[in-house]
Amino acid sequence: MNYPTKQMKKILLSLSLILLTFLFATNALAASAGLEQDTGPYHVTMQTNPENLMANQAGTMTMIITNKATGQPVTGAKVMMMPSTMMGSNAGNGGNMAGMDMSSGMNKQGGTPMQEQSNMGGMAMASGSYMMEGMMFNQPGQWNQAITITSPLGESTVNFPITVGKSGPNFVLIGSVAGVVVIAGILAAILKKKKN
Amino acid sequence: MSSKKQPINLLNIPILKRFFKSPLYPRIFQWITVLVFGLIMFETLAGPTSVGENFGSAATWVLWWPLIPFFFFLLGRFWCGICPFAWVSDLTQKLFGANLKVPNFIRKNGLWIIDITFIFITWSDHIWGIVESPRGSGTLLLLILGGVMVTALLFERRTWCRYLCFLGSLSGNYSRAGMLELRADKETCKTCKTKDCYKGSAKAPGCPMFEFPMTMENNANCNLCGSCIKSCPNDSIRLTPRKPTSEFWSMTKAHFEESFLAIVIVGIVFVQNITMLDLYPSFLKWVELTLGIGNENIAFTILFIFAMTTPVLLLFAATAVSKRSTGETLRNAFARFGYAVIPLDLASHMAHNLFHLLAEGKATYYTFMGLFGVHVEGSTSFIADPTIQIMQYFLVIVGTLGSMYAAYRIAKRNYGVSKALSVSMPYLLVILLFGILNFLTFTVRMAMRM
Repeated sequence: MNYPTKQMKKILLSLSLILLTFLFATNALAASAGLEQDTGPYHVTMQTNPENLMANQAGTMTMIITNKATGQPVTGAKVMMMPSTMMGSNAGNGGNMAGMDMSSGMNKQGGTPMQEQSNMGGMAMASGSYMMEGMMFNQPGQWNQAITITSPLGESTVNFPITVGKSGPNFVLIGSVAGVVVIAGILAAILKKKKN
Repeated sequence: MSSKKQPINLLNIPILKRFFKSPLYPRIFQWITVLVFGLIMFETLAGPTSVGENFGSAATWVLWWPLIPFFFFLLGRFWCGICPFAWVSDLTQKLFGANLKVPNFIRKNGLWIIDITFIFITWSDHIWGIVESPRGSGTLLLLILGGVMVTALLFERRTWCRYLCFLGSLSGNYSRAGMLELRADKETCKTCKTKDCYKGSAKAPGCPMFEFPMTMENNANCNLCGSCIKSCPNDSIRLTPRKPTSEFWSMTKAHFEESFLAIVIVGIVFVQNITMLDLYPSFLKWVELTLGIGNENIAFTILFIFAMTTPVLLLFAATAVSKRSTGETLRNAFARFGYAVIPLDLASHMAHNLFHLLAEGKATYYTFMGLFGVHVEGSTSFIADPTIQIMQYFLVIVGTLGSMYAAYRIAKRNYGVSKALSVSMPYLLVILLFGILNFLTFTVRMAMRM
C-alpha cells in the first residue's frame, strides 16, 4: 500500500491550519457582525453601499424588512431613519451628533423617511427594501443608527452599529509596511557587511 | 537518412532577435507598467473609496485581471518579465540587497506557501471585500510590495517571483498550457563552458528565476525576461510557438504540489463563478437557514471549504480508480494527471473574467477621465450579455475538451496506447463533471464588479 507519505501529512497539516484560521477569523467576524437584527415583529437586514462607509463620502443605506414570524417581506411600512448618534459620546451632554447629512429632509420627529424601492438602476430589488441615498457622516468612528418601523404589524425601533472609516489613506498600514521594509533593509545592510 | 525536424525559432527573425538582445527589452514595457502601477497604487490607497469611481480598482479588476489569462495563454509568463513588482525587486536588490542564498525552507515549501496564501486571499476577498473595496485592493498591493521588497533586500535574484508570488504561481501553471516556449538547444549547451545564462555576464544578469535553460523542460518558471538570450555566447536559446497544452504530456517530471495547486484553482475559479451569480445571495441565505447558522461569513466559509476540498477529493478518487491498472503510487499518479485540469482552469478563468472585461470594461475609461475631473457616464459594456455568454460557453467547452485531451495524452505517453483510455477514463469523467458545473454557472447572469 502506498499511502500517506510525508507530502500527504503536509497537506493534511496545511488544510487543518487553514481550517483553524478560517474558524478563528469567522468567529471573530461573527462577534463583530450586526447587519441583521430582530426587532418586535420584524427581521431587519441592513446593507450599505459602499460596504465600508467613509467620512464625508456619500453612501446609500438599504433596509430589507421581513415579518419575523412568516419570513414574508413587509411592504408599505413607514420606515424612519432617526438622527445617528456617535457611540461613546456623552448622552447627557446632548448625545445626538449632527454628524450625518441626508439628501432627504427631516420630518417633525427629527427622522427622515426611507423610500421603499422595487428596483435600483434597472436591477430588481427584494420586496420590503427601503433605501436612503446620499447619507454622509462627517467624522470617522463608531456610530449608532436607529430605525423606526411602523406597519400594521406594529411599531418597533432597531439600532445598528455603523463603522465609518477615514476616507484618506491608511497611514498606519502604509507606515507599518514601510517600517518592516526599513527593518529588513537594516538587517540586509548588516548581513552584507558581515559577508564582505 | 532521416533528419529530425527543427522547431521554429522566432529568434531567427532578425528584428525580433535584435529587440530581445537590446537593453530596451523588457525595460520599455516595464516602464509603462511601473507608471500605470504607481497610479493604481496611489488611487487604491488614497483615491475615491467608491469602487465605481476608482481608476485603480477599475484598471486592476476589469482590465488587467481579465486580460492576464489571455497573456499567459499566448505568451507564457511574459507578464512576469514586465511586472512592476519585479522591477521594484531588481532595483531594491541592486541598491541595498544582501544577496543571501534562498533558505531551504522557502525553496522546498514555496509552492505550499503559495497554495495557502492563494486560498486565504480568495477567502478573505469574499469576507472583507478586496475587489469591491479600493482600500482593500490597495492593502493587498501594498502587502505584496512589502513582501517583494523584504525578499529582495535579503535574498538573491527574484526570490519572491520564483518561490512566493501567488500570481507568479498561477501564471506558471497557466503558461504551461500556453502557445510559446523558450528553450535551449541541449547539444549546443553541452559544449558551453561559461554557463552565462545562469551565472550572468557583462551583457545581462543570470536567470532571475533560478533556471538553467539547458535543463528547463516547462514554462512554469520562465518569465521571458530575455536575460539568457542576451548573455548566451552560443545563440543556443530559441523561442518557439507550440501546440497549446502539449507541455503536459511531454514533461518527464511531475511535481505533486504543482498538481495540487492546479486542482485547488478549480475550486477557486468555481467559488469566484458561484459568488458572482445574481442568485448567490439567496443561495447563501438558504445555506444559512438550512444549517442553522446565524452568520453569512461562517456559511460562506463552510461553502468555501467544501468547494476547495471537493475537486481535490474527486481527483484523488479518480487517481485511486485509475492506479489499479497502472500500479503507480497514489501520489505519483495524482501528480502526473493533476496538470490535466489546467486548460479547464485557464478557460474558466478567462470565461469568468470575459464578462467583467466586456460588460464593465468601459468603467476603466470613465474612471480614468475622472482623474482629470471629467465626469463621463454611460453603459459600461462593449457588447451585449448574450454574446458574452456564447463566448463563455465556447471557452468552457474548449477548456474541458483541452483538459480531457491532455489527460488522455498523459495516459498514452506513460502507459501506451492500449491502456490510455482505461487509465484516463476516471480523469475524463471528473474533468467532464468540472466542465459541466462550470458551464452551468455561466447560464446564469453574473453580478458586476464596478
